[in-house]
Amino acid sequence: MNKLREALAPWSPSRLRERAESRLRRTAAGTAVLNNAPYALLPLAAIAAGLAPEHLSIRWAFATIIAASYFILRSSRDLFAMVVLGAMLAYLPQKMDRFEQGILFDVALYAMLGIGLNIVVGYAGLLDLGYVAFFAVGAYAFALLSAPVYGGGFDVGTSFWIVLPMAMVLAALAGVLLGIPVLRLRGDYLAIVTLGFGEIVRIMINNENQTGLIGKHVNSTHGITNGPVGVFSIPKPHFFGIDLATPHEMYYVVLVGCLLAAFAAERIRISRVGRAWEAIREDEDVAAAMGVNTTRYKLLAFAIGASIGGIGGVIFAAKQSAVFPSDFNLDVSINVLALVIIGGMGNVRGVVLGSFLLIGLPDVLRDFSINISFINLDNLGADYRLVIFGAALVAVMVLRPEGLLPSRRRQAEFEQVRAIEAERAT
Amino acid sequence: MPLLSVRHVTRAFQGLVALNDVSIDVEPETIVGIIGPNGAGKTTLFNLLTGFYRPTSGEVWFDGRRIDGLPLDKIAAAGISRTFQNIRLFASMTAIENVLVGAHLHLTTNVVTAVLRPPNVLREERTALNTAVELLNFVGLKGRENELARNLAYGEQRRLEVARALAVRPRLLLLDEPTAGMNPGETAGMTRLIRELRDDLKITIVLIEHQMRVVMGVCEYITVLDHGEKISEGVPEVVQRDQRVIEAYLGTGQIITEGGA
Repeated sequence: MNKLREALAPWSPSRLRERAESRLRRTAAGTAVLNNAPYALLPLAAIAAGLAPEHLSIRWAFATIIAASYFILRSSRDLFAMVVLGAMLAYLPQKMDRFEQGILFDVALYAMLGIGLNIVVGYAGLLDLGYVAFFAVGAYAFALLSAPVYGGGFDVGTSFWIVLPMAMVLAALAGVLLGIPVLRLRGDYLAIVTLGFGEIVRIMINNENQTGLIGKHVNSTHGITNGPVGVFSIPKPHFFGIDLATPHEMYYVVLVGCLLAAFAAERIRISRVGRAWEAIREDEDVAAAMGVNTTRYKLLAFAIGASIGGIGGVIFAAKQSAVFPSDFNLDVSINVLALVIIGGMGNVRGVVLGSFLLIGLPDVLRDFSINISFINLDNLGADYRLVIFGAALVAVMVLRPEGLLPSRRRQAEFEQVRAIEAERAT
Repeated sequence: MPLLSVRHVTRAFQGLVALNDVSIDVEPETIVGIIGPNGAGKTTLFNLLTGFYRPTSGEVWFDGRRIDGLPLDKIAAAGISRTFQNIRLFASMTAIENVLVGAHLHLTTNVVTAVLRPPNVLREERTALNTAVELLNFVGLKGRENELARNLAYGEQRRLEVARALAVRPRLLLLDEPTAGMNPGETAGMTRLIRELRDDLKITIVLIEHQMRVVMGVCEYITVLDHGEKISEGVPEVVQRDQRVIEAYLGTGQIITEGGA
């Protein structure tokens, strides 16, 4: 593995960039271009994405967003860059078809889930493999409270905007419920129990189709959750008279949710609360000896992370207009965790980038093809997209084990580990 | 009335008695040294005082309250803070963040106010930052605020541990081998710092120390532990001449083996 890394080193992205940069910096013009290129290119790329032929637009769009967001997100505090990225994210779906907008919606939704899970895993250092449970709680809260009887709901018709805060509270409670039994567990054991929790929630939803003890009083034929049949005919939310029906419109809802979640997560991270979480992650006993109530703060991390997942669930249910127990299997938890790790743990910007790669890439690869002279691999992407995707993930983990955009601390930790490894090798 | 009162405390680890019926009283605003050979139970005593362990029997009273068996954070809130023999900083956090974690109990920001950031939270955070910078200056870490704790030099890390412990605003500060591994210059600095803590900040200090020059120079009262038992206590001049202490450190001198270490 080390030999492979050495052999690849001269072609690693950072080395290539260094070489290209040093070549460019030799001239004054080159320096100017280098300093401003990413930002100058962005609007151009966005326009190009808009002008591109319809069937090509998505590839353009995603390539642009991924490349641009990488450059923008890694150059941290540039407000202008953030505005450009935001404008791009808002503008691009106008040029996409329904399917592509659906992908973009998923990317944004998973980014939001990632931001929530990142609070638990990245900030507080609690490995949670059952994050899907809170997603499910939010989704079913909205589904049951809004759907009519024939759709398996309670026929209460509660508005989307009222369910949002309710789902937040419900999911937070579920988070505390999960947190209490796992307070004393660390590492692998924590992962196993949380994984079980996620499965338990899904199976409970799935099996709650008989006339149960509680079900009898609520709904005489379908139990509470309507079991494997799922809940359907979930009404579309309205926003001041505007119907939010299409993936495109719901994309803006989740985009706003994403921004709010990122804003809240960042502010909490740099506050007393974030410091307490970080101290717990570093050394739980010492954190307690410094006066941090570790029980309370661990539960708090679970609750805050869960509430963001719950909101994600509500938005998901509203967009799908039907939810099934099978929507909430282990894959969701794994995907969210993977995008947090690939993107860079502990860093909201890394999470967003991770979501583009992990959720967006597999679908973008669908129409990836190679047609050079006699090589005609028209269905390369369609047939092998998951293979390519897997290879890309492995490459990221080999070349950048700390993730694409790690938090400053993660980076420091990994550099330390590398230094020790290098010392041992010599 | 003593600030800290350890009453007949015994701590056993499955048959191994690390501390056996030890009683110690610490008067307010004194500097007390705990000495003894390796394995005497000094750090075990600190762990009992700060809640890392519970005593098997016996009681610990602090400021008129019984504190043995309380969780770690409650003991910190009561006013006891400590440093660690094997430095236990939050290695991936910066120096100033380490100190700010120490100030946790004296800040009020919660999740909601952290997000909304009303003016009083901003003010509180600014005050906390200023205090933290002052503390770092006080321990001699001026200009190192934004350095990651893991990147600090050894002596600096020890000082940062003191700064973090001070941020808890303790009435009793427990220092576990504060000068271990320090060169003479650093040791002199730490000794001066310990005196300043008591004189300027009126903090009662209990310290574990191996360097006799430090102990005899800075401590007003000394307790000697050996094999988990208190074998002597008193002012430095008395303890120094105590036959049992000399035996504990140097042996009885009766058995001399050839070529023995």
